[in-house]
Amino acid sequence: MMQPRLAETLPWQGWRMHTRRDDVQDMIALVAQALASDDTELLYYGFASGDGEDSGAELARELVAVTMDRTQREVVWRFGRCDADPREKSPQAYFSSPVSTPQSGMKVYPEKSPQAYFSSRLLALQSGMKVCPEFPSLASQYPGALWIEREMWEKTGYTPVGHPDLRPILHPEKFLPDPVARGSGTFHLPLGPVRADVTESGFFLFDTIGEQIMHMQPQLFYKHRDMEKLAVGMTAEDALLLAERISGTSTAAHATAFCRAAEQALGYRPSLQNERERMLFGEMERLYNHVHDFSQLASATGMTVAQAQFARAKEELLRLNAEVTGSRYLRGAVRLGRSASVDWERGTERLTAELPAIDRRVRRFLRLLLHTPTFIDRLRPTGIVEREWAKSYGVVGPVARACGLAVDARSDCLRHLYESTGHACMTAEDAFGDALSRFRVRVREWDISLHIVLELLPSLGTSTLVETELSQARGKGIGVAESPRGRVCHVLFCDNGKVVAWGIRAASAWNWPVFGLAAANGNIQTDFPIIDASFGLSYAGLDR
Amino acid sequence: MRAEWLLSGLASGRVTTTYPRQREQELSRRRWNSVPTMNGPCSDTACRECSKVCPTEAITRVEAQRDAALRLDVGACIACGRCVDRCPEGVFSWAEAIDRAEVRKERFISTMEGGADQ
Ligand code: SF4
Ligand code: SF4
Repeated sequence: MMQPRLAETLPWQGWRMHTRRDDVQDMIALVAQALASDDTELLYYGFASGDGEDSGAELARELVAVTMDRTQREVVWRFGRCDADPREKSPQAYFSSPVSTPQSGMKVYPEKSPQAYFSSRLLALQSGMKVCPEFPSLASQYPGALWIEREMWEKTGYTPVGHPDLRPILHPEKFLPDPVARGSGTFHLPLGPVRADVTESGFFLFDTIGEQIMHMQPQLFYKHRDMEKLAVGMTAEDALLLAERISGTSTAAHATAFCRAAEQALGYRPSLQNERERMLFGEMERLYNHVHDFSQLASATGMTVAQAQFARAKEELLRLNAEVTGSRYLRGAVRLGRSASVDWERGTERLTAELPAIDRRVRRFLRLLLHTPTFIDRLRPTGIVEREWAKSYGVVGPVARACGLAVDARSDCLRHLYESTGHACMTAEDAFGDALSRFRVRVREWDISLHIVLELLPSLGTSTLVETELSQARGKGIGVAESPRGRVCHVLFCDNGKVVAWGIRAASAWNWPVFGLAAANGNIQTDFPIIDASFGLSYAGLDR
Repeated sequence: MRAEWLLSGLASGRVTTTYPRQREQELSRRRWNSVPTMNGPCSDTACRECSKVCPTEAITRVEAQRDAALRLDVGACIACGRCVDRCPEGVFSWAEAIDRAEVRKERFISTMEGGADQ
């Protein structure tokens, strides 16, 4: 049954929250149906808890999908209860029949050993847990769920039936992708996992013919820390420290999303001042990240002066962060249920004194870049993401906005917070979806972010440390924030003030699956660094 | 275009900053998170706040025969600042140096003998 209730916490003010429990078949069908609409987006999809042992029995192995309808202003939590099927196949039968039909050329990998499966199953049955050996695949209808379901399958052993490309994803040390293209003249180039620069670990397998990239498969999860599981049993305050460390360059965004989820789950009432501070940290984070992306793009195109200048601006912004909050990467700035311990008078003074000078310099070099033919030529038709792909893969952030999709958490679910700051969702004018469009979106967002920072500062002068008490020990919450790379979403279940289950969807988790498509399709090998830089993906955010 | 690049590159001159050894050198903010350090012994025998709030167990109270010593392992510290904020005696404060390198991991551990009133 639908149980609409008005969301009470500030970030969701005016939104309705529904909770629905269905049979897992119906649930997937309903989610897929909702996602067919342009206005609905998938915020979270996954099992409520990875292994279930530590959590309440009703959450164990329960499928959760949270969708957001931005015109109706409602969030729907859908739970798929998978009741044990009496006609259930024996584990042996399960393993002797093919789980999925792999795409041609894909190698079928050995699955979990039947013994392991059998014992985990027996354990589940003995402990009276409801088990769902398989569930209908959402990915068969919504490609955005492709990687998510591969991960779910590998973690729990539950099979998404109908998944078009079911391969292990979590263990690159054991399984690496196989080349797809064969025939004379094709060449397979593995790149990584150790790469130049300070890039995190990732493996890329290129299938090329001559210079052309025919196919590219990224393999990540070298940095998988299973954070969602680590946090189980922690207090929300301790888990916040983990949330800050999901991805260093999106610290404030993850901390904000986590706090919003935890506050909803535990019944804290954050004040407007509180939320304003978080918005400010979010924009400070965007500023240094965008300028870092400019620098990377300049480096990929050989514009060394611009690269050095943007790198300098980034360092100045990081030091500014440290002066205001005490941490270069804004750690510890966002707090649960209370204000940041920041001297805003001083912070305002420093920011208003230094930002305009940095801005002038950044703008000058951005203008120069946009008038440099060699730079533009390298970016123009490079790494195109088709609008259709962006929609069906649920792509977020500047990558989506470069395709002309107005996907921005600040203007859909957080609009009432950002309205007064003059924020506008910046889509690319040309909506070409290539590296240049992504660059242009970031250029426009640089202006907007700076504007928001300067707009927010005066309202922060009066820092009163409001401590709000938590009013409930049990509940679920969903928190959303717009990181420099796009929407991050945290889903949190708490019981007794402790984390029972936690789900993280970083912006890069939505963008990575489309990266391979953008890198193939008409690009040549030497385009890859540019595509890489223009996506600006975070490895740790996906790996978590 | 080339001339403009050349000019703008030259116009910014040489930009260097000294590598800050002490945080005051570069950043005027006093509470700049580095790692905590202990200013003196803890005189509160009943309080266990710091070892309780430290999320990484970097702080432990070593219960010796008569007095309790504090043990701080900055190698395990994630600079969350809880000990600095919560200690009622002000035993912890942010260290002056912004970086620290040691050859052996054990060198990151420091201990402070128990309270004076024992
Ligand atoms: S700063 Fe945090 S992690 Fe480090 S010792 Fe203090 S409480 Fe522990
Ligand atoms: S050092 Fe401070 S927080 Fe720790 S036990 Fe002593 S008084 Fe308490």
